[in-house]
Amino acid sequence: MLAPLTIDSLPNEILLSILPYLSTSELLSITTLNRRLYSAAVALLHDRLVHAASLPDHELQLECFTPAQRLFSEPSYCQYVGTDVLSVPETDVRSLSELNQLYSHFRPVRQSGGDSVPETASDTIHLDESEPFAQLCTVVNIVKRGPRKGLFLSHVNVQEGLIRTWREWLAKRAEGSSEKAEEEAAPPILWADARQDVGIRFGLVERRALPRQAAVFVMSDEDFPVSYRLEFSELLVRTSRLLVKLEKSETEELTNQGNAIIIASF
Amino acid sequence: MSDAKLQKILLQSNDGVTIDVGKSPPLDIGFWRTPPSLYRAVAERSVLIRNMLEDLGDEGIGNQAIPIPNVNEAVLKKVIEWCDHHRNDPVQPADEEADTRKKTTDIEEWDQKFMQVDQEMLFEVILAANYLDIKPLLDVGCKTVANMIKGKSPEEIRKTFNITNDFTPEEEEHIRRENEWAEDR
Repeated sequence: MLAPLTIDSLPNEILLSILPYLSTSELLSITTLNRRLYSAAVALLHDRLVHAASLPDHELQLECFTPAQRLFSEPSYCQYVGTDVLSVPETDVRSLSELNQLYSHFRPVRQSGGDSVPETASDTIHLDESEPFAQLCTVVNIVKRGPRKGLFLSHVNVQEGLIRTWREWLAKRAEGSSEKAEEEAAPPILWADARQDVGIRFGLVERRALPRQAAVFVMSDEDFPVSYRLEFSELLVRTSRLLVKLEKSETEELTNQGNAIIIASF
Repeated sequence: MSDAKLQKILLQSNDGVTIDVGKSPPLDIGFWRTPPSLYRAVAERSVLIRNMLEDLGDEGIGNQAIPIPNVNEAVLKKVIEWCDHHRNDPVQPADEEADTRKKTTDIEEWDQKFMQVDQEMLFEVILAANYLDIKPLLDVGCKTVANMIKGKSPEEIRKTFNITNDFTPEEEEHIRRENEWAEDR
């Protein structure tokens, strides 16, 4: 008599036909069971990450605004640029933490009417007298657009956070960007959350002309009011986060089928 | 399919039992409802058998039983039962693009009941469907297993499927930490 048939004795091809029916969080939970399930799940998760990164049929929205602008901010749409590639050769066993280190890169653009080349999103921030930093609320959503503008088939929040731009940092960046060549090393990333799921690279930091009276009575080393124009040259989102949220969006879409929802975010 | 000249289709299981697809009642329940002209449709749910019938031709097969060396009698009868119920199903379109995304696990009611068997039989049916190349049955089997995994904690899954843990406690703890990335926070 042969040993009883168990899930362990199923050939790989069958195991790999079963696992695709599981959600990403279910795949993650079976990784602790044994080595075979671990590597099968990790391989599948890697494929899913690569697939999810480009957000098929969905769009990524970035809202980045100072608290005062909350009601007026318009989301920028993000063009997919690419996703990090695992440095490990394909034959090697991959690990979950490696997968979790991958980021997808996007370029936020202003929505523009017509066919004109979309412009990189930017914003102006203002630091009042003796304010050490300005905060930027950062909201990233995955949306699936419906047939009409302002109508979404699904709308899922990926991350909400706060980015602090410090006075000193801004001043340095503004100096740097005028002196150095544009193609210089990529500007630093400012993260919107402690786990570094969402970050923004601020391309150009430009000092804005101050209103006249501001400069009159302040000493040069004092914290006087300033304005900077920030360009959101790149948005980074942890790919695993995108995958989980994309799945959520697909589920939401299924449950909403037949009764489209309208979310007034405009 | 033209009118089958073949009088009967015989399959021989690996434990030496010859099963007449047109006559033998599946799992000895009820009576065999299939009119003889239809049993070819039943057998042809299996791409393996269909190809064999095509290659050999009716004459070539004659009254010989087709050996199915990987499947035992009980499982073969179970598979024939499924093929009989689904003999009129439209042919599935060739595999859609390999999609790594999560798929739906909805199973039609009859198939759900059909799959209410012990685990060993379930896996046997899956293996047989794989060997006989009956894609829709393989899908139903895989979905059934997936549904048994869904909604369970790793410990419950381990218990349900009797999975031996080959990780050291340290390794397991390490994975537990690195698989936290789906947690919503």
